[in-house]
Amino acid sequence: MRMPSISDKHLAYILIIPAVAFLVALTVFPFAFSVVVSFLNWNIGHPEYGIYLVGVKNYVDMLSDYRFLGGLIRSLFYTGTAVSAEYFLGLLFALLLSREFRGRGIVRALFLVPMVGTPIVYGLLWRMLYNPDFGLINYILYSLGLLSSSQFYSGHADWLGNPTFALLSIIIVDIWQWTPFMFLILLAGISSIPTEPLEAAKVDGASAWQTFTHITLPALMPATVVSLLIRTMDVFKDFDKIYIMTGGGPGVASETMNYYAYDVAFNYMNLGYAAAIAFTMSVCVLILSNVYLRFTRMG
Amino acid sequence: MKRNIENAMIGVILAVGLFMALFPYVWLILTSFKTDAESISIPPTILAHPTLANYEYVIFQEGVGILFYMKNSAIIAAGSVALSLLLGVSAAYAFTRFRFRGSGGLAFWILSTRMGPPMGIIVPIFLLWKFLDLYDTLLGMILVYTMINVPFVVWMMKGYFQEIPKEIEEAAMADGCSRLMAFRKIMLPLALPGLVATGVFCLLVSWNEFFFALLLTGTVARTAPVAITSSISTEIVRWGEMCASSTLVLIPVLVCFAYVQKHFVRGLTLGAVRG
Repeated sequence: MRMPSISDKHLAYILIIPAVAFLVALTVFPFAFSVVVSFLNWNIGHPEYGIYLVGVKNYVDMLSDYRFLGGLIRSLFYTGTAVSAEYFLGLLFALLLSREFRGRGIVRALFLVPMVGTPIVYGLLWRMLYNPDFGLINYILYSLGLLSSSQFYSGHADWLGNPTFALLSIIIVDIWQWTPFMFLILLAGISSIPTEPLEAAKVDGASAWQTFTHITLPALMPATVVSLLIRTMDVFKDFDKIYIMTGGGPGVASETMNYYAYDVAFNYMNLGYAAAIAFTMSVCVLILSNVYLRFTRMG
Repeated sequence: MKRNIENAMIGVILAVGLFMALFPYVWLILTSFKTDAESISIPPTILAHPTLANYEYVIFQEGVGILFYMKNSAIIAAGSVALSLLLGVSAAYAFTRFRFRGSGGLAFWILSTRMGPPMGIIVPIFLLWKFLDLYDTLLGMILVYTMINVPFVVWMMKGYFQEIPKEIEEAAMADGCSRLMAFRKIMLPLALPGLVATGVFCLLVSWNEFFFALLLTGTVARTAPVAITSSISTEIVRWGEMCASSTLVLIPVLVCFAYVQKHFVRGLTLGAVRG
């Protein structure tokens, strides 16, 4: 007989406590500190005002701050357009690749490539492609006749420097980068659909569209919810592409809530106000993450 | 006949999709072999005068040395993977094998720490790192990336451990193995493919991370992604050089990707969907 020196319960604690303690120190503690700071007037850019308690002033200020409200709207716009476009494109390619053919494995793997690379490299790469003077995108548009020669040679078709198109141009990069994610999750969903109902539908004379809306789509619901929630949380937090492609500009045309919080914290050094914005955003993301956890019921 | 047309259409759509997915990559690599003049020529050329000058510059030029920053990135990534696996695997094993009050809630809490926005904690960490002299150190970055990776390791490994029947381990323990020995001789070898995949995922995350690296490093512990952006800080962007250092940074990423490709579905959903 084995004689355990310590009980299983104690062993469990010994194994779990280091990870938990580490995460408390690096996430809970900083987060709690941030919440406290959000009730302070603490502006490193203006040390002469000192640090003192201001109650909910920072939160009240947000409500009349056009940069915050604009950032919030742009965050929602960015998330909504990017995630829905990624979903539909991902679904399209997942359906096309769900049938067997030679070389399918390779094609599937190649489709995933945009998702794995370093985001900051993508930002730079697309800045080069969008460049108004020599960028490939304008050259292609010009070759297709979508850009007149005066627009092309003057370098005025500056997508990232144009308030109307700056955020959209970033969204296009996000779609390029993350459609593979949707594709992959949905393809896994499609592959796990049992074949019997599909065959039964065929025998009963259902059209391809009917089969799709009545069998495939309902069966894809879990994969759909998981992928939409994960992407929504991630897009909300996107920083790298905006930082490197536009810096939130021109003006504030591509500034999201997350990017504004960064700007307030690290350029204006208004820590109290930045903490209030960051807290608001964290609450949004944590609500979403709870929906995600509840939905997937992992564990 | 109808079927042939259908197949042809599908083929065309797939080809277009594949072209869109890969072309930016191809252009990046091509540009890395171009001269400065060619990289901004109109009309663009595919590759008229291939040159290694960009690589030579980013590797050997004083003050650029992308390899130095890649080495930083590699040390930080490796250190964080080791620490994350140590902390995460033991916790994952405990969550799989022992039930205790609040274990489910605790596991969820661990996962939720991964989902909060970095912006919510960066300022305190920045101040704390300055205070503890961890700012701009390799150790400081290892700790931050371990924070990002631990929840991921816990959930991934929890999934892999759960797939190993409890009975195998119990049989070994009935035969006189200690729990530790049973873990080492049975659980670990059986979960090894999952363990390696999890580790490679963590490597990728650490290698690609930018936000914390930008704000928590200066010149000493600067990572490769931050170093690349310095090529655009001047008025004139040297695209060829930017593309050369980017290509160098992407090579290990693509190698890792090829390796963990099969585990990707699971990795991206933190174990929620098993592909």
